[in-house]
Amino acid sequence: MPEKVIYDIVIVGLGPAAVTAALYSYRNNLKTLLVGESFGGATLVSGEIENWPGIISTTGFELSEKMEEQLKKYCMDETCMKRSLIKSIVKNGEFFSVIDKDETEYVSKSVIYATGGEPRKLNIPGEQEYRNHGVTYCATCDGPLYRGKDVAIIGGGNSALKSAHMMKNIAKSVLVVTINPEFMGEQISIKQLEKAESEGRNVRTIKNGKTIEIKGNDKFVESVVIEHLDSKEKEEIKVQGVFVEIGLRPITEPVKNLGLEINAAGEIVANREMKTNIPGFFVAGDVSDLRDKQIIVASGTGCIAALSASEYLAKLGG
Amino acid sequence: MTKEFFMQKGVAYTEKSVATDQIAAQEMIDKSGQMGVPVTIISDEGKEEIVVGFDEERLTSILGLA
Repeated sequence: MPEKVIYDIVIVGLGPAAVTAALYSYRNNLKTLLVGESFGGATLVSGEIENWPGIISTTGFELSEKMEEQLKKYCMDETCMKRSLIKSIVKNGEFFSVIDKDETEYVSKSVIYATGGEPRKLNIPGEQEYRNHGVTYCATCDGPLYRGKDVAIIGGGNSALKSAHMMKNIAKSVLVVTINPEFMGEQISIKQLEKAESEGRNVRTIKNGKTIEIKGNDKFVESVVIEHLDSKEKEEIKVQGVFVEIGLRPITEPVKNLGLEINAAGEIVANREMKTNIPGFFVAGDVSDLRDKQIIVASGTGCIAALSASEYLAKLGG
Repeated sequence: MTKEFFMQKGVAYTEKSVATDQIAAQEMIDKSGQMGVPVTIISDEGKEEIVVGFDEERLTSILGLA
């Protein structure tokens, strides 16, 4: 029986944080395995990207493709990069045991965990019933299917604003609902949305509005019910599409038994070196407790995590 | 992922972009009864199987690739 491979680093995820960590680790000649489901992670569906230095404008899809292309310069086979979903990570003595959905085990001296998050749900009546029947969590993926229709974007941050800008050029009308008193994204994006509304274009915004129900005809969405928090009045608004853009829920199920410190938002707590409370276990990107969920920040933390892991391995004598 | 799967398995396919092709978008909604992507339609002697999302197990089973 062949001897079990022991990796220096297993990097979990395929988004910008994981990819950057892998680049640094490959270039450091560390025995590295990058493992995740699909290249780009949340970046893949980020739509237009205009805040990545050196590239005036690109899309999440293009950037993800470029990341994959770049990695292939260093890794061409499954000994260093594998497409699979990681199910659990446990500590076995001095090593981490990383197990995928097919029960394949990868043994490693250190782990960089960069799984990012999945869309948060509203958890209101109608949301689950009409998922993919008018309720979607990805404007970039599904937006074009709502051409000429009335849609609602639920959320007030950058993702919601981005979706609103995309949909105002596709849909008949766009309703943007935030539960907060103000939108909380990039000022340039907020101003553009408010301008479109004030000019009487196809945009309506509701602040202090709580989305309480999604209604339909048993097949597709027909309306959304908003409670105005100021007046307590409820308003039913006809829409055929509801885009839920209220942030990400960190994916931490695979590491729930490691004893990691997790904050109230469910994110893994890390210091500025991306170290967690478990020696040898590093985090990067949106799964960590960093404030700013941005592609460039995720990449930056991937770099920090890789360098910290490298230092950790050097101290181990590996 | 679906496209990569087909390429890896050497399965010939025709791609329709529902983002740019309104007729294809309506066809997808009518046939799958939902609005999520991707949708794979596998035709065999007039009989159609619809797979919503990337479902490797189902695709493998319908196409007899196991």
